[in-house]
Amino acid sequence: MARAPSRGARRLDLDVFASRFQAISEEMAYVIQRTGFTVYVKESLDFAASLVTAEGETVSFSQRLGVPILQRSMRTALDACAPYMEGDVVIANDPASSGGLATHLPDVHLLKPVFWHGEPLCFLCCFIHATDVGGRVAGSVSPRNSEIFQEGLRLPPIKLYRQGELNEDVLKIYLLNCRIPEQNWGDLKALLAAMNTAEDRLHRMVDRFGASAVRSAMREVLAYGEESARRAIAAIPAGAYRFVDVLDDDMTSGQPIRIDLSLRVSGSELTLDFSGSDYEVRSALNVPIYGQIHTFIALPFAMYMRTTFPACPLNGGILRPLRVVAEPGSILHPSPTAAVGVRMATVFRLQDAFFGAMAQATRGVIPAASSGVTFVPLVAVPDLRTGRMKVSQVQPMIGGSGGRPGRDGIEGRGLNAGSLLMNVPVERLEVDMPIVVRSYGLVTDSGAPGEFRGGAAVKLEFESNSPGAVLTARGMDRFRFRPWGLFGGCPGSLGDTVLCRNGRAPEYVGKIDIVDLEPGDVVSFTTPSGGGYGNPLRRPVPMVTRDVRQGLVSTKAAAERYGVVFQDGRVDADRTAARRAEQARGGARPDIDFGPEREAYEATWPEPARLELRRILASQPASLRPYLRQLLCRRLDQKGSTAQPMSAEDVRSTWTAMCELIGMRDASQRGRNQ
Amino acid sequence: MTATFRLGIDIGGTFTDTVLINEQSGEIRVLKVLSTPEAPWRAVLTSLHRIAADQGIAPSSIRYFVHGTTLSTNTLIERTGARTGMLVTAGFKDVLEIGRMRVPDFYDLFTDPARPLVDRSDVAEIRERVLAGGRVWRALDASDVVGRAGELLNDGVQAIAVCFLHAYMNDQHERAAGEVIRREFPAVYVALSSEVWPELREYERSVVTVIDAYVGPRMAEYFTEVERLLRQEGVRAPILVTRSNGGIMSAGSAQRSAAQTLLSGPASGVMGASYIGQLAGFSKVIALDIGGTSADIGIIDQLPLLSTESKIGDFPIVIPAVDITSIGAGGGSVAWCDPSGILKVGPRSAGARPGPACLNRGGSEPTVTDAYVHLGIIHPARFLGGELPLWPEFSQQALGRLADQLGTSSMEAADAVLNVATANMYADFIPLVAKRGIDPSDYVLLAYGGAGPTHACLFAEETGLRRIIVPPSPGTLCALGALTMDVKSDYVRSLFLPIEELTPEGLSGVYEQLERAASAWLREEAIPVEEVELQRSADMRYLGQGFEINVLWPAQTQKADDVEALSEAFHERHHMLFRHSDRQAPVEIRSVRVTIIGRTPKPPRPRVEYDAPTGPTGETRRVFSRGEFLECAVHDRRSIRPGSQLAGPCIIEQYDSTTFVTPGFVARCDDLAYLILEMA
Repeated sequence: MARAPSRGARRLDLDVFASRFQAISEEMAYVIQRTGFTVYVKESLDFAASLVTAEGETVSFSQRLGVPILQRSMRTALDACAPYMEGDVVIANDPASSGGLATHLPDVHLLKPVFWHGEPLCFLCCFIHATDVGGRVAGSVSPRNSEIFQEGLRLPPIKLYRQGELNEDVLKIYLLNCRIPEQNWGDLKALLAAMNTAEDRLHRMVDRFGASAVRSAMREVLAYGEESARRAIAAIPAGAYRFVDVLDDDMTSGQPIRIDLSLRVSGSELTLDFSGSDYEVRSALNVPIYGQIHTFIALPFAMYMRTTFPACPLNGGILRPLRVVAEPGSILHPSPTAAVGVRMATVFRLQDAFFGAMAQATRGVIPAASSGVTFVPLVAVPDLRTGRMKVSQVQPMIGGSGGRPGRDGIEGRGLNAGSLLMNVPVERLEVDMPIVVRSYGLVTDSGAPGEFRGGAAVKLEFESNSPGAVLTARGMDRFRFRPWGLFGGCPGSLGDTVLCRNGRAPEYVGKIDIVDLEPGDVVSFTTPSGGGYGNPLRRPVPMVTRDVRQGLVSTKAAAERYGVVFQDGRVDADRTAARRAEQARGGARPDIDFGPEREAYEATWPEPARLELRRILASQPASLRPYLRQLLCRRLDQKGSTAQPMSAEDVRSTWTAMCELIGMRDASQRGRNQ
Repeated sequence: MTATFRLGIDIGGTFTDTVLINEQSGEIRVLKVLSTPEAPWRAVLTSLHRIAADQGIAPSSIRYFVHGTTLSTNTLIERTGARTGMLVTAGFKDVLEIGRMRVPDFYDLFTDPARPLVDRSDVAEIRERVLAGGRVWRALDASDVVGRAGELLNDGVQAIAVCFLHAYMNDQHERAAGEVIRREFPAVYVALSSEVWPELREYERSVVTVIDAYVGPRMAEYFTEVERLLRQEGVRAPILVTRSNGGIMSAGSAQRSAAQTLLSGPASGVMGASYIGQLAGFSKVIALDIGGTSADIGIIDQLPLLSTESKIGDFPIVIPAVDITSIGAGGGSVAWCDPSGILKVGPRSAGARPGPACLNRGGSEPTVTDAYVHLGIIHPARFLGGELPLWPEFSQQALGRLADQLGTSSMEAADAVLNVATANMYADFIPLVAKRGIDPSDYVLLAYGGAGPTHACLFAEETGLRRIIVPPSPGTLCALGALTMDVKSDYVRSLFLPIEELTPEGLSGVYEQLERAASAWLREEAIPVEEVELQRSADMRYLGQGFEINVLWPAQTQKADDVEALSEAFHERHHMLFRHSDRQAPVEIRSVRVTIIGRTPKPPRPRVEYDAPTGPTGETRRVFSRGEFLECAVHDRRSIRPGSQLAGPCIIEQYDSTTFVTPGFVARCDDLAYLILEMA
């Protein structure tokens, strides 16, 4: 092994400091969990804690508890309130003015500078997902919100404490705008307690080792991260790798949202260019990271790093070789007033696109697409005891991960940020809510065929037993376009919702918004499943046999999809060989298989039509684009229902007609003639 | 009068430890022999023979015999248990497959949840359903149970776990299923979730039930065998067995409830630490156990903290157990150099096999133990009183290779290995402190396990702990702990009732029911106890809150005003833990708990024999630490009399451990012959 240039004794104790910095973030997380109030903190663990340099780079973040927070730079948020004095604490939840530190309003962030003898040492940064920050709906998040003003109170970075003194005015405004003020204040106090503990810990560390040693150790730890990342990137063949993934629709029309990524590898640098992606939308699916290297981009890269190099430090240093391009006005760089509440649904697709591009650039690491969703159905029933509505999540629905090089996907559990969630025991759910869960388990034949099979989908069926129950769900996707298969693997299955009104025939209702339930109504949710990896005909027969024995693959599917023929419960070797040979004559399978639905969509909406739609929107003022996109796409949807593929001319004429109707000058023509 | 003895034997992964106490004089003897995992009873017999021969005692003079074993844990970790089948409520075949959903290592694209102990093809769905309140929604058909169990057994299944939904509330279906299986297939080990641990949460309850079935047959076989062999040897005392909750039970009980022994090994150590701490006059103790394969922390505040969130591998263990947190991989942790030239220690461990390079058992990678040897902290010829010679040249070679990669000397590298290992422990210890909400400066560190005393000062300096106790026989504290434990068992019943819907009679009724079961158990154990204590507690929460806290039954209250007093105790406890409470908010009782404790007579205070000459031997050794060579006086532990003071740096050697007193510490020997190390 080639040895890196020795930096002498520094290298012997670098991990000593790295462990200490890590301990500080972990300690904060445990304090938050122990002293926090709401279920989000105690059970869902939706919070984060980190240690940040004075320059805004992340030295460590809690990994055992909570969710990741790993940003290339927190500069915008930090600069907003400079200069700092000892005892200051900044609060912020507004995406635009915090430079994408917060990505939706419930994530209330606190930032605290740490000083040593009057000199700034570093910052501490925490956030907590507040259960409610006001807005149109309880919980503040709804996919159908169209502007951020419907999503709750916006706090730009401002000082909640000045030199240790609470700014009561800020607190009053915040708490007046929340539905559960006491709990929210309780959670904020947990963050403050955590940061005080960390501050003490840092002071003791500086006391022992000296401020300059601690500062230089922070720099060294970041440099170590950078060096590790550069080494990993340099090992990827240089080139450009493109991958386009889509969300089913934009919630306002039938038009999917495209995430178009060109991943460019050059030397030890990695550029994620999202230039071809769709413009912002008029629903809560926008991702306000403003073209920065945000946690959402950092995460799949960190997963790649950790997988290829398990000892890799996870800190801001690993993000130094990364660059992100996303044009203003796009879904990844939306206007400051765009609705962003359900940005996670889009983030899953960002991560899929990253892995899709990396799968072309590397070998033996990247799995096929995970189910790609985390949707959370909620049931609300009137609670006569408390006089309020009682709300409970039914179960976070995730579905299997994609088949992996050399290993099957994980059954029923994805490999994305949703995998940090825990489910609710059925027994607890039934004690708390007037429902009976009839089944909760894996779906036979759902895991996509592959040499390494995709993880199975999960299906949950429940009966509602209360009058006046209301069912809602957010984050449903992959109900129309499948998780992709890789290197010959088949695409995963689609999600679905089936509603069986008391005694009547089942209806396939797909994505739901709000459904009123009567006693006896039965609802079942099925998640998508993971895509397959490698040609299923290469799957070793014993693995297919095991799948069949375990009931995860039927004998019918074993024959049709894997070419493995069972006779009286045993594999018929001769017929299997023959069947596999015959099926192999069907030709090579594609490297990436998006499934028939996406192919059909792309046939009705060929490239020229899509580019024309984009061109027209590009010609319009950014602030109007989401609205115009909605109007135009709705009209095109009606047109698209005819069997003919959409042409660029169809798009143009629809646009012209629409312009006339609303009395607007067709600015797109001007752009065209220039 | 003829002397009588207490014998404690603890089987660990590497060593089997024995402690013998003379019940009259308090004289104590210890022994360590290598474990024999293929036939664990062999090490038990060897220990018995050796210690009996050494001391010239007859096995019949052993009046009290406690035995701790990691057999159930090892069976689970090594996956060598019985092929287990599982009967579940129809519709819930995948309770083990889906688990609680979170993946073990989110950042690793190749992460996999622990493979369930029951293969999906060995799970049979039974048409039956009980609802949340306990009402039967779909009646059980016994012939269905016989049919499905029969199919599984025909297919080769050896043990059966029955886990039906809401069986914690209404066990009638599980009991009926258990009865027909036991009747039709009498040879089969059957575990019912409502018997093993009747608490709400189907996944966690199923896991402990399945583990019980999985390890049960092997445990039953083992205890039958060990009891037979001990009787043959002339041991007449009842065989007592340590359990995870820090108590003991009869061997008969252990055969029926195998899951209760899962965490018993480390639990005995913490119980021993608690006992020693009490004798030395400390009620707040952080117990640090460093062995060959793990470093563990237990916290004692009057009593050892208990946890219902323990884990073995990825399996959650909700049965109450002494709270133990791993803070690293112990002496076997492997040191290595990453591609950037950064020194790392762990998380991989060389374990007992191949072990550190110095053991010369095929291990060639440098470990923390190799660093102790190379730096001069451990004397290679005096490990285990010289019974297990070490090979320093192999340590040197292994560390030399590492030093080359790091571009430094082998001494500097070994020194750095200890620094990094200490920082790793710190990184695990600090979050633990935050999780438990304790202030470590109130605590004294009690170091045990073979390497605990070796690393204690380094750990204390790193974490800011100022006082350390090293017990007389740190390497065999688990076996000593086993001799001090009370007979103890826990009972739970999930209720899920708003407190205002409970009448005092209703609440007392539930407690009395649990207490009757507890008392009946204690009677059947037939272990002589001096007094019996019943502890009541309840898991409570504000209605709608996402978590519950355990509230001890208010001490003074009895009968009539129970419910209100319990409410009040909850508000107070909530306020104490989280600094807020809401007396207007509705309160809910999730589960009630009863613990029965039968106090066993304690052994006399261990007395140490000073059989080495007093005073300095004049021997010194050069130890390299923190970048410099230290001239360390070397002392034999048996020569250190009460009242002596030894300033660091120095080395104190004894049969089962080596204590490294760093320059900042002074060691003094107290009246009980405990070493108390204090930061100067």
